[in-house]
Amino acid sequence: MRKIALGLVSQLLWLSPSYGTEQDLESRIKQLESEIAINQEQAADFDHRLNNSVSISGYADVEAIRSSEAGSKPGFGIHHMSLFFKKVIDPKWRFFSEVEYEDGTQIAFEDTGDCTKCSGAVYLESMNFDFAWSPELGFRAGRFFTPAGIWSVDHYPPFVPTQQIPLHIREIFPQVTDGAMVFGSRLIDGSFVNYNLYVGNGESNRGNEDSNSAKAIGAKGSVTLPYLGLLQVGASMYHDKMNDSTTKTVLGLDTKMKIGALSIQSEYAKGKYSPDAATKYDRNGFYAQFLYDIAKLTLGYRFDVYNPDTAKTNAGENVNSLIVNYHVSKDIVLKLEHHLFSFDDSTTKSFNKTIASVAVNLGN
Amino acid sequence: MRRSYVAINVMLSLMLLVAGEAFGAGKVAVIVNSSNGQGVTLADIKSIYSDQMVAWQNGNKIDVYNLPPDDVNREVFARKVLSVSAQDAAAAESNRRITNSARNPQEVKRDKLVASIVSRTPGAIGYVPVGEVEGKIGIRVAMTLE
Repeated sequence: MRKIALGLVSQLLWLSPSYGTEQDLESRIKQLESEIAINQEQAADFDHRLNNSVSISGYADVEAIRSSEAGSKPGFGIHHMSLFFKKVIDPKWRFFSEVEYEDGTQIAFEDTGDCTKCSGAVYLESMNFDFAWSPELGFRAGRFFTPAGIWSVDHYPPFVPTQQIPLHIREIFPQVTDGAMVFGSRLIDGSFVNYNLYVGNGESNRGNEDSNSAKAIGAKGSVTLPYLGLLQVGASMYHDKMNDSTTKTVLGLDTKMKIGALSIQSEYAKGKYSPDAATKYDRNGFYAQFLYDIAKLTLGYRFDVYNPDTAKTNAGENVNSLIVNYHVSKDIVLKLEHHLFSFDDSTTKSFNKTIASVAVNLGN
Repeated sequence: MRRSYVAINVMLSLMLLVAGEAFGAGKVAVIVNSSNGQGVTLADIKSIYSDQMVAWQNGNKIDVYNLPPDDVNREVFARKVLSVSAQDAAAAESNRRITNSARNPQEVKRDKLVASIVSRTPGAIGYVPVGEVEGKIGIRVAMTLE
């Protein structure tokens, strides 16, 4: 049967005018070569256009919150809608920016100046240019997330287990810095040593001006050791003279490790505040977070403590959090988190907060 | 009776799930261009795919190629090299991209294209099913994972 079929096919090919002669075959080969050349040109053209385009990505998250805090009502929230614009200008130069619409931003300008219906906020979260001289030395200028600890940079909802951020994050180290930074990484004896050194306007001076002559300086160093699934330890510092003449010096420590399905992440920060004409005080915070992966589920617990002013008695607070994440895919996560807030001050009532959310990374 | 029926159904579903996960997964070859003479260890591969090591010893940039997150061979690679699932590895890369901390962004291509690109690109590294490298010119297998 097979032989008959093959015979028929060869007869058909023999009879077919396009397979008739060697000349025809050569002509077809030439035609194919020409088509390949055209396709290659088209691919190169497409590549060129892609390389010259700005890539847009982003993330969005929505949540439902129920809290027993006095005065709070259960409700839904459109928390973030962020857009990232990135461009690789050439192999060494890159541009990056993030525009964030927070809390379902609605802005309306009217001649009366009445903005009572307006809500939410729009932030230029970051905007910077990078110049990569080598793996050991890169430069960044513009607005960037302050390289301090872990959560300050790795904070995007699709990739963190909770919508509720640890208490001290953004309260001791500033969230962003407007300035310039050098950064890099080097392999030393099997361990990667990473560093960031930066200078900026300071946390109360963003945008187009600096209200004081002092500049903030900061540094972060971390080492990724070749042990476990992941083992990283880091230290951060920041020094600034703020607009109200308070001198602020912050030190932080952080660690991240992965042992099989268990991930542990912890950060500590201590800020020393020295106002010119008031009592000095410290501000400190710490959290330890434990996550355990079971297939697409992540279960977790976090203990979180923060004291905004050690000069005051009973100013501290802490949160115990239970966490469940379901990773629908690498870009979609469903989260359920329950937080119990407690206060050192016995007159402040403890309360709990439950958040159910969906966070989506929009990709490129 | 009803309980045993449910139990059998659950077990069968689990078996199918496990079989489904494993189906198609075999040996994975980590490949570099044949002009690249640098020895590549498992630790190097982990560092490269964790965005720590971004250049070869000669200083040339490493072009890193990944398979799509739903590819069974990426699952094998991620588990063996990075000790995480393919999904977690892909999420970590996405996180690096949106935090602007990706030093050497990775490309995602299908296996045939990865083999073809690596054979033509001196600084490239990728991984493909072993069958994809048989008889291919311009490729050196740096390591085989299974």
